[in-house]
Amino acid sequence: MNREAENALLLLVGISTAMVAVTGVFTRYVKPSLLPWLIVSAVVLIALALISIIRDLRHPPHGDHHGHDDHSHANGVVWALGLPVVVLIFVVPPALSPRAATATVQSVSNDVLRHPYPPLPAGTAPELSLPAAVARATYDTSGSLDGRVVTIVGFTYKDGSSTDLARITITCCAADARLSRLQLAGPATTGTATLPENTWLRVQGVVTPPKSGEPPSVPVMTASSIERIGAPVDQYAYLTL
Amino acid sequence: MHVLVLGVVLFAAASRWLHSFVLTRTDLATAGTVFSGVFVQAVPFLVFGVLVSGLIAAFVPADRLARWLPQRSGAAIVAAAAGGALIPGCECGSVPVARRLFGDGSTGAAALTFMLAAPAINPVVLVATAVAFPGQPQMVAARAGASLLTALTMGVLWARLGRPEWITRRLRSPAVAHDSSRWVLFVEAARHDFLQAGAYLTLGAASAAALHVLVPPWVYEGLAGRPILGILAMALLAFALALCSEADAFVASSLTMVPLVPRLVFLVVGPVVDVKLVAMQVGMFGRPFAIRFAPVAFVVAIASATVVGGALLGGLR
Repeated sequence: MNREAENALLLLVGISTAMVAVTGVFTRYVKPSLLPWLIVSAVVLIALALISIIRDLRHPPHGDHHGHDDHSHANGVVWALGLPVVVLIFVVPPALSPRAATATVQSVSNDVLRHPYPPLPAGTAPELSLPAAVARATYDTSGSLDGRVVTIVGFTYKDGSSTDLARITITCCAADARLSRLQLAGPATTGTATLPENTWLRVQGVVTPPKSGEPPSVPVMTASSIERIGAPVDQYAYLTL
Repeated sequence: MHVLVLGVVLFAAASRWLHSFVLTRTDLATAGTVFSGVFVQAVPFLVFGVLVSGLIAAFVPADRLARWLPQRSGAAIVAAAAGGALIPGCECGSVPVARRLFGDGSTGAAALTFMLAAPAINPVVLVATAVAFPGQPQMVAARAGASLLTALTMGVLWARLGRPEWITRRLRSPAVAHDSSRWVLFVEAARHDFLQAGAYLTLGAASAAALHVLVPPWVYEGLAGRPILGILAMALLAFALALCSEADAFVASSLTMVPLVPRLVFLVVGPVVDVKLVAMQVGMFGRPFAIRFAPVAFVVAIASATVVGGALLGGLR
């Protein structure tokens, strides 16, 4: 690959980074807080490419000993950078599907991890993220969920005959995605069995710890009201430090 | 150049078809998403890394770096490990930085120690580990200790056994020797390192995505519960998943059917050697280096984690 094409490819990588950042597509792959760093990266890459292109136009690098013969075999691999350009600009993979996240998911049941959590926000039915509810139901020793009605957003997920409320959680990027689940129960859930998988719901109810026994054990949410909603902008839930 | 333009036009024309084709194939969509996740996540860290590496190329000539470091190689290795531990870097960024620090080889052992220490034991990673394993500070201590031991051991091994001729990938002598203003040197080094490391990062991310889809999780889970096989299975999982060192603790904390020592192995191996790092090391240092360094680092990391974990986490249970 010659220097001209290398610069063009560098520019394209910068542009594709800028495009996934500006269009918001990047939230399918990484967590939203990466946005400023993606923009800075895109600016740096585009600047590096433009500076190199302009400098080469002013001082054409060919014609003297500047040749890159010593490097020619190494440069073929630079074409690999075309792959992210094609994937990010033209293919644009979708957000992870729940079935794909299942692969890396384990339900949690380590007694050593149990400790008291801070109290829930005051008010009726405070909103709680689904992974946070699962963590409290499993690990909390202060009983902050006992008898409290909370509001949780998630999508339906079929497990055998039962319908669960689920959410994909990512820490850094889609490669570390995990699926968190709550088993839905209670009179308000009569209609949920007929809902197609991946229907987004806002559910109010009481979350109770998983029945002790063999893992995987899923906490139960006894629902008092269920409302169908559209898919939220941020499809994933995020674990924040 | 013509190939590039033609390719862009072709892909643009096929873009709608490509998009819908990927949507119909679940495993292909998953692979695409995982690839994009690993790549997009790594780009800011890689950009930061090549900027640092450009600054080193422009402002820190190799002989000056050698003068800064302690004369005795043992002290230099310890200094490099301490430097790596203080700087919150990620493994993708530290490979090009280490290559620049490596220079012509006079500070090789220290540069490699830095490369292994920086992503594994910096403050951000240790806080993430503490959050992922609440109530278990010994996990944080074990991770820091085992990773430090790995980095130091690899530095010492390189000082004893390393051969400069294994480094076949030369740093491009800047094409600008006669008008070598610092600024031009900086831009040239950053540009070259991004193209080189980024290309291999792409190959690594693609391999990680393929392994993510092709190797079913029960392969690892079935093995992970047994004492010796579990350690090996978790080490292979760390190699295959190529997670960011800030995220791996959360994945490890979710693998609850696995005892703590194999999970520590997962945390220590990941930042030292995984599929994308090996690809990047091939790109920055050369294949003869990578085929020797990666397996040794893999074994040293497993041994360090097993020994430190056995001492701090209460045996193999």
